[in-house]
Amino acid sequence: MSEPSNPHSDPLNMLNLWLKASGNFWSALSPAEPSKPPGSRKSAESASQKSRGRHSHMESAFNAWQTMAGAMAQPETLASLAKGPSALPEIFVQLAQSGMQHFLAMQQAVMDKGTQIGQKAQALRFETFDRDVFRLLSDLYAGELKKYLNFPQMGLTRFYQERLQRSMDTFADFQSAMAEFVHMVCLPMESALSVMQEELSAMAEADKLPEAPEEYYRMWIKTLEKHYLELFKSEDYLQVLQRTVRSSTDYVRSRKAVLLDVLQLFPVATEKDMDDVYRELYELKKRLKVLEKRKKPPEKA
Amino acid sequence: MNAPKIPIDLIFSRLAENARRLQERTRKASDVLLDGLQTSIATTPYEVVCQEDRVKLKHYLPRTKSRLKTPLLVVYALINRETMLDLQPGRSVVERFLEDGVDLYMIDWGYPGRKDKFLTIDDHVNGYMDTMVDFIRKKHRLRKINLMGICMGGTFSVMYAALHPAKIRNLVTTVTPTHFDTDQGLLHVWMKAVDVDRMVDTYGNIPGDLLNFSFLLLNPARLMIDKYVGFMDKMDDKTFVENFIRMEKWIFDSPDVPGETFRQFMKDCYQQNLLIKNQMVIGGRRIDLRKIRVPLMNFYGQYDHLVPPAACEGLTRAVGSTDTEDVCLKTGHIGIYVSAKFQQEFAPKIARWLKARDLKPRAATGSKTRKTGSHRRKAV
Repeated sequence: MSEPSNPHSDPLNMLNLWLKASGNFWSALSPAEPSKPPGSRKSAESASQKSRGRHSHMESAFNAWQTMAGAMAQPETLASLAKGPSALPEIFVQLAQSGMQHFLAMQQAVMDKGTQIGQKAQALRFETFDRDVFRLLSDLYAGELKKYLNFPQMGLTRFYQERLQRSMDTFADFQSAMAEFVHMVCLPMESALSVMQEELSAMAEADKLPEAPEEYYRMWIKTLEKHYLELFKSEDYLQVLQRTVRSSTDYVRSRKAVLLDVLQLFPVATEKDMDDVYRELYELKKRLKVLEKRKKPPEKA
Repeated sequence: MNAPKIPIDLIFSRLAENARRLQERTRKASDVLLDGLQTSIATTPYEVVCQEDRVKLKHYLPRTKSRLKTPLLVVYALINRETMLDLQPGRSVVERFLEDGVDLYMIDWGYPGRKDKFLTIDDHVNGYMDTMVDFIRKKHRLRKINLMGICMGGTFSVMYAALHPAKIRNLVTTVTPTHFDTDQGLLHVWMKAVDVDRMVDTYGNIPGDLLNFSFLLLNPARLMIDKYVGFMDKMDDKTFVENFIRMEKWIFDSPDVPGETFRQFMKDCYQQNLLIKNQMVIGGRRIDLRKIRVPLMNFYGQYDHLVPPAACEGLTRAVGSTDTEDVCLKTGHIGIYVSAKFQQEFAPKIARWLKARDLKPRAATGSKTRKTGSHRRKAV
């Protein structure tokens, strides 16, 4: 007499059941279009556009899972799983295919972001490339990358991570400000050369071109000096200078905060500890001097 | 229309000639640069007679019998070093003073470290300077000494003379900014735009290299390009190279500036121009320039891009002295001290002026009169 077979006793059946249950669970969570009220079509569209990227990632991940689960639920796969390790390569091929699809979807998302970058650049107009390129870069950084460094931190180490991220953020800002500063300081070189060209054309037309090459250098250095003076007095330069100073000080401060965290792990005095001691020493010496002066006999009139 | 005539053949032949000369010069220059160059600076013998913290008082060993009864204390700026006054034998303000029989003392501010970041202008003026002045007074058994200030050291000397008038016989200021509300110099424009608090709070002391970089930026065409092109032109001349290297040694020897001193100097002077308005306060005391009633000689450079004439020339009108003199030299900020031409004029002129006012009864300090001869303005 044969006993009725229990489906839970067969491991292949168990795996099949688990895959189905998991599939149902993830299907329930799959991104579905919410029902929209008739009047809110436009806003829903824009909201849907914004969230499209996020949904596509979810869809991609879900599809990857479905493919994997589907493949594993195939009777042949289950049978091959039962056969042993010799069948594993087949499964891996299927998994790799699914993984590759996911990777391609992610790559597409990155490319989409890249397209947005191009749109931003167009908005700032490239005719004024020299003037706007640094603003563009810092806007790009602020809009696209900075937010990742301001990602909220959690857990025991959150403050340390926050300080580290802040130092990376301020470093990037400082680099961008410094690049703008260096670019601006190099501008007179360019403008002096173009003025020189105009002057030389005028001199050539008037048949007054100097014969000595040194004379050309003297003309150039004089023009350059004048252009630098003009630049350094300009409001634009002052703004760039202010930004450079601000970003460099921000960076130095944030770097010091990270260093402080590191130094506290070692048996050495931190900068803050030393500053506290120096301040106390300074104040004590000052008080001592006052007391010494009080003790001194007054000078004869 | 005729095509412009470009003397291209001439230009190329000159270029070829220049290239040949440059090649020859480079060959000679390598001999010069690899030879033992004499580039020491500040070689005039002195002894350190007093020291407080990092600040030293140098006393230069006299070369002749002192022709003045009152010694002279020279106060240099906190930016760069006082070695500029003694760059090399034969080209040294210090030497000229000694040859003219001036008993010469000089403050060496040293190199401020992190522990000095809390030092204020009050600590420098009413602290270190006062200690040095008292030391010299005591040593010479004098109530008053002569005081000469250079650049920021001049501003400190003006503050000191206003707060301690009883200790000063004569005051000499050279390229000394006292009126800061001017747009003549780029430094004045920039300093108004910079967030000083943020800088001091971040760096503590203001790095000397950062300050030097700012000074180079004042005229990059000349200071970062033309200067070195000029060097290439004469690098086969040993004397020129030695002098050039001495100057480089001095110019890039930049101590950091104590943070709190920098903060107050920038905010009270450059940004609010309080000194000339008699509103600046140090160590709880207001600086009233009208309290300076001693003879005052005020030097400045007509082409000074760091401390322009507009920043200097108001001092003689702001003080309470009746015996004042402005001397405008046709040179730049450091030309007064290092140019052979002005060195011959500068130190002997001061020595003569001091001698004429040495241990004489002080001029009446009543109402301020400006007679011809008592206040003069000269352009040299």
